[in-house]
Amino acid sequence: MKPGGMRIVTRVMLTAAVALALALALRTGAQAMDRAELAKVLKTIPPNGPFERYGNVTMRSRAKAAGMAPVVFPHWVHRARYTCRVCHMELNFGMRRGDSGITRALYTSGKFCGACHDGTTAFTVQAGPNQQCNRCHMANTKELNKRFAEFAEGMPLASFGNGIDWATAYNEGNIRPVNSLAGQVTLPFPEKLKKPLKLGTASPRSDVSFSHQDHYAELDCSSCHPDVFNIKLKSTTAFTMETNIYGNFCGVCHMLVAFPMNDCRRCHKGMSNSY
Amino acid sequence: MTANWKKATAALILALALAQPAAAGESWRAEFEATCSKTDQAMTMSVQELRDLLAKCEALQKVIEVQEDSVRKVYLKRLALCRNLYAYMLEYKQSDAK
Repeated sequence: MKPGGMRIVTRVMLTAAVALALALALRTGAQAMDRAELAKVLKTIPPNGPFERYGNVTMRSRAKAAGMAPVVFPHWVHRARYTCRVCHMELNFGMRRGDSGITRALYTSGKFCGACHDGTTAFTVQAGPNQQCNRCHMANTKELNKRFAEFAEGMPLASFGNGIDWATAYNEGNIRPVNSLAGQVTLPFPEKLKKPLKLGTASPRSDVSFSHQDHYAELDCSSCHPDVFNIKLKSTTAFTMETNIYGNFCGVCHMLVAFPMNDCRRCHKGMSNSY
Repeated sequence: MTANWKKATAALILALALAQPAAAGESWRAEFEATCSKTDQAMTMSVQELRDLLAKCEALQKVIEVQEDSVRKVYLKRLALCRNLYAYMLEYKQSDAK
């Protein structure tokens, strides 16, 4: 080999070694940062809590003023029978506690809960020999928890939320929620939204595939757009795991009633649920 | 100009009809359902259709604002949801047309 050739080979090898070392350092550094970031995010997620309590809404203020025990509303029993749109669109229940202004006068006149809790479709809210005030007004949830245990028996398991994989329960026919008080109605779904939406993230393994169709089966376009997701590109700068966890974007539902974000893999298919 | 007159007349008629408490106090609910049940079609609507729906939302808002507390609270929120979607789609279509 010529002396000059040796120099060139050495230089190339040195350059390659430096490039390789730099690449390895960056890769290791990036991975370490990724994991640390992920750990930080996961630590901010509130613990799931007991399965039987997930999605329960406790309403105290009006009940207390009336000298009654607080109302505990279990989402689990209702979601097995009806999709979200039935209560939140047809019956006008707000999405936040206290938004609906429900009073006893209203539900005993057939509004809100009274639309179904009439003694025929479900137990009655009326006073009288068949009254069951304690089915909603509860000093403690022992009875409700017992009913949950019976309900969850035989349901497909999940590690989070209610400990029930609701999607599998629906697909396997364990539950048959109807999408209207009138029974099952056909809701025209926009063709252009049928393809799942790919939401890219910093790392390909954490990419999200979002199904409009699955969400539309439960809700309406206006439930999310533009108030929760304003669809404009600039709004995505605020779309982070943290903002979600603090109750924005997906976190509006997916920390309270829909499956919680402790279950990373439900959205980030390439990730594990541990770090 | 003609389209604006038509829209204004329609909105006026609707407002007058809705403002008649005697003429079935619940008539605005049917109008509300008809107006807000079109959200799943918002993507395929024309600019004019969206403008008409927004005009209906404006008229409905005035009627809902004078309802009793609970009804007002619930329906104003729901109206805001569908109105905002129509407004967004209108803005999107108008900027798309430029």
